[in-house]
Amino acid sequence: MSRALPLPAWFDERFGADLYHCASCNYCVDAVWPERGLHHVCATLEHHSPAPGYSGRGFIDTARALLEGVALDAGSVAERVFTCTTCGNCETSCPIGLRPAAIGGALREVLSAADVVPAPVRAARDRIVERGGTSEPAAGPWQAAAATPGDGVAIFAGCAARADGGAATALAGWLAAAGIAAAWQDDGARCCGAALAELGAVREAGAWRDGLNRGGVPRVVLGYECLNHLRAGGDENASSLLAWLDDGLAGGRLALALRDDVAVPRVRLLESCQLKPRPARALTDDERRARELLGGLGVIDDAEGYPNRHALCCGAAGGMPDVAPESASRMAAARLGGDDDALVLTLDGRCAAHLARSSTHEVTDLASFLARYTRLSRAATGS
Amino acid sequence: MSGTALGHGLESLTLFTDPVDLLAYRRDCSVVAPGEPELVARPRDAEEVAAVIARAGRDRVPLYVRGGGSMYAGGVNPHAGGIVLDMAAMDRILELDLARGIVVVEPGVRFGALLEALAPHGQTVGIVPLTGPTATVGGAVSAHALGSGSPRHQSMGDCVAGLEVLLADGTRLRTGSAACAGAGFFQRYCIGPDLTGIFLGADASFGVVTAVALWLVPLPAVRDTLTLGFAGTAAAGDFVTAVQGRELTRNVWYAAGYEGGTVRARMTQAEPACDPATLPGFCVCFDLGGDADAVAADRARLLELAAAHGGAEYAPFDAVYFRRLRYDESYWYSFAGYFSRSRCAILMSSLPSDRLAGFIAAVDAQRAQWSDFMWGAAVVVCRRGLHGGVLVFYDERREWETITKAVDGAADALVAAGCVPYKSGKQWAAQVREMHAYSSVLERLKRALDPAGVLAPGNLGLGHPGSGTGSAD
Ligand SMILES: Cc1cc2nc3c(=O)[nH]c(=O)nc-3n(C[C@H](O)[C@H](O)[C@H](O)COP(=O)(O)OP(=O)(O)OC[C@H]3O[C@@H](n4cnc5c(N)ncnc54)[C@H](O)[C@@H]3O)c2cc1C
Ligand code: SF4
Ligand code: SF4
Repeated sequence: MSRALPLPAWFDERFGADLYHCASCNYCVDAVWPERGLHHVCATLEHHSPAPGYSGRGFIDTARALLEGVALDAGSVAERVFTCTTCGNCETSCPIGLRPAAIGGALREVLSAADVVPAPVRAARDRIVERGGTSEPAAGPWQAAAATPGDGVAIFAGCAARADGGAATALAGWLAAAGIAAAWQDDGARCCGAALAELGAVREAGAWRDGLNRGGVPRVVLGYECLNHLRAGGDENASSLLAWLDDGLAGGRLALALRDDVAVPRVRLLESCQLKPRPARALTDDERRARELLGGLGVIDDAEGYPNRHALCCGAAGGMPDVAPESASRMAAARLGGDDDALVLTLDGRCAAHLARSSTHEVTDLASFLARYTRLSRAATGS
Repeated sequence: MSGTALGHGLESLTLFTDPVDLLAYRRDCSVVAPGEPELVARPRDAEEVAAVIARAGRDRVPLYVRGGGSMYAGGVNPHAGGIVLDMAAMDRILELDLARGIVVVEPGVRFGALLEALAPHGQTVGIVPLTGPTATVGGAVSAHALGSGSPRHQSMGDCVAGLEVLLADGTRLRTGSAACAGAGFFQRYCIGPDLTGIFLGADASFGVVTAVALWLVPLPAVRDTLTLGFAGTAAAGDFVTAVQGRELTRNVWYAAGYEGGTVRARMTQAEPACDPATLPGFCVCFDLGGDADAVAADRARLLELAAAHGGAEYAPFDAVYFRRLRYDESYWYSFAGYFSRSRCAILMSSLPSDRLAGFIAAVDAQRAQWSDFMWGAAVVVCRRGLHGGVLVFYDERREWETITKAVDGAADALVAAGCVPYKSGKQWAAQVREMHAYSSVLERLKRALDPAGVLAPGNLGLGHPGSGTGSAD
């Protein structure tokens, strides 16, 4: 039923300027802009529904209407803002730097506070709360008591140590082979709450994050969603596996080479939406790092040509696999395209898992790829 | 009638009735009052368009048409309510005939997609609006776009080889040579009067465009920019008139003129130490394209002609603004500039080049009267005459009431200064109605083609209460 859904004061403070700055230009809805690598914008509009309420502009129009007291059906609003992959393409394509995806996220928070949440989202949240994370924790070395890192590396594995724990297991073996001690933080598989935040339960997610042991130790965070969530909470010590590796290689402490006992297949590198340079997020430089690293190893031959910054989301994020599983699968199939038999490498484990689930392509995440095809060592001359 | 009731019989189409989705269809980029649509239909082909037109006609429900929705004159705003046809799903390139030099597209094709498809063939089209990534070909035809290509071709209509249009009574009309069964699109004005023109810039008043044939244009081999500075507007106007008189625009893909205030703002932003007293009072900028020899020769001739009008090359403005606008940041940059305050109202008119000074003076008078707003003026050079853009930067939250008054006042002032409405939509409706003979013929055409007055009432000043054309409600 239509009703006024009052927006809290913080909404206007944070986003009021965006709402009245929006030029209704529709670049965030659909645009083709080859010079900037933009070939359509929103995975939800392409693969779920073309109704503009699902678009970035739709979130802005909706929020402005709510701010002005227009009565809208709160269930319709919720259905739309929770059927978004949170990929951020709408933000990176806005010519004047507005934050429609962040506004969608804030609407999720408002709707959650008003207890207007679609049933699949509620169920997904309940599952996370019940399990203490996105899935059941997997058994592995991360369960041992955390050691101090020493000259090793502190790691927050989060979701990577859940389900089959594949990425964390691979990483553990890769580091161990190099003689690098891994100090697993926060009982290995503790959840930072990122997945809850994404589903609008921002307060609960903040509490989960605050409950983590930060300990002032620089640490590698395996999932980019977790990394963004921790950084958004002011955790300056959280960084990515690629940043740690890049730092070690640049500082001469680490060396990396392809293994000579395994044939490296042709690799197709896909970007992860979590790495998009968006106004509301700390930038991560990992897309460039990945291209340089993999290009340097000769694993990808067109280091400049991809990944495509504005590629349509694969549907892994934002709760899409829970809210609209068929649409999420369509997104994955479209992202991977035809029958290219290259090994698909995506930096974020969550994208890799979703793409692998939704297709017959061979897909891997960064940690698993490095463990399988490269050898890490401490550089002999390292300082 | 409710949106759901309106949708009866159209269930096989993609329809939107949820008020959350309808919000996006209330307005375009203009300051014309938003409307309240009841139903949006998103057809996939001409048959589906025909079904919606039939539905609107049967129940006398207003029907508005939307492409990319980027117009700045309110043409897409459904101010009488009713149905909005969202043409974006009709986005196929139907035919590319390199031998005839023709591309035929559905109206929802975005320029970005079209240019991308043509580039591998070394081809482009005559006119491309700066909003190319989102603007549709159907919208550009119906709003009579200008922009890249205007110095060579004038405006969008001059690049159209023919149209397919669905009329209110269901007639499927093909114009130009394609009117003759089996001939296809290749020429206009073959049979007699060319009916294409009735639908160009018509803002959906007479029919819904379902296919557009455009002439192909080879991509230039070489491009170069040139910015010329003049002491003032009068000298710049005389210079542009001379350029056009000598047909020196043949190799010019885009040319624009910027008043002193704009030059000052861009220059002092880029180089805070620059002395405003040394800056030109007006800049005319050219984006040249063609064979290397032709570009070099035209560049030299433009410099010579500028010198004869007291002008000279002013490379700094080229570097900090024009070249970036045309090459590096193209569409992006124009948007960023336009919306630097909150939003920007744009009012576009046509004027003869020798009236440039009068146009700028009219804008100055508005500037003095409505000093709370930030005003800008720029002209796009056409094959003949100019398109004069007035930009009014305003705060959408606080200044909505006054901005609409200021823009309406500016429209009156521009007509009084000898300018002609361009891209009329609803923004210029009052001024179009003042052109009595012209608007009465428009009304008679409207009555003949759309007797129930369902198509886009309000656009071009037609279908408004008391106009005599069918009232939609
Ligand atoms: C910042 C900014 C810069 C701009 N720069 C330019 C520029 O350089 N040059 C320029 O020309 N314009 C410019 N515009 C205006 C606008 O982008 C163009 O006119 C564009 O071509 C409109 O295309 P659209 O698809 O968005 O049309 P819409 O806005 O959707 O529609 C335009 C008109 O055409 C009608 N219409 C749409 N499709 C059909 C159809 N299939 N059949 C019948 N009627 C139809 C609509 O009812 C409306 O009256 C600019 C606008 C902005 C905001
Ligand atoms: S974040 Fe991605 S899926 Fe969500 S509205 Fe923006 S472009 Fe669409
Ligand atoms: S959010 Fe940005 S891209 Fe989207 S309509 Fe508004 S101004 Fe345009």
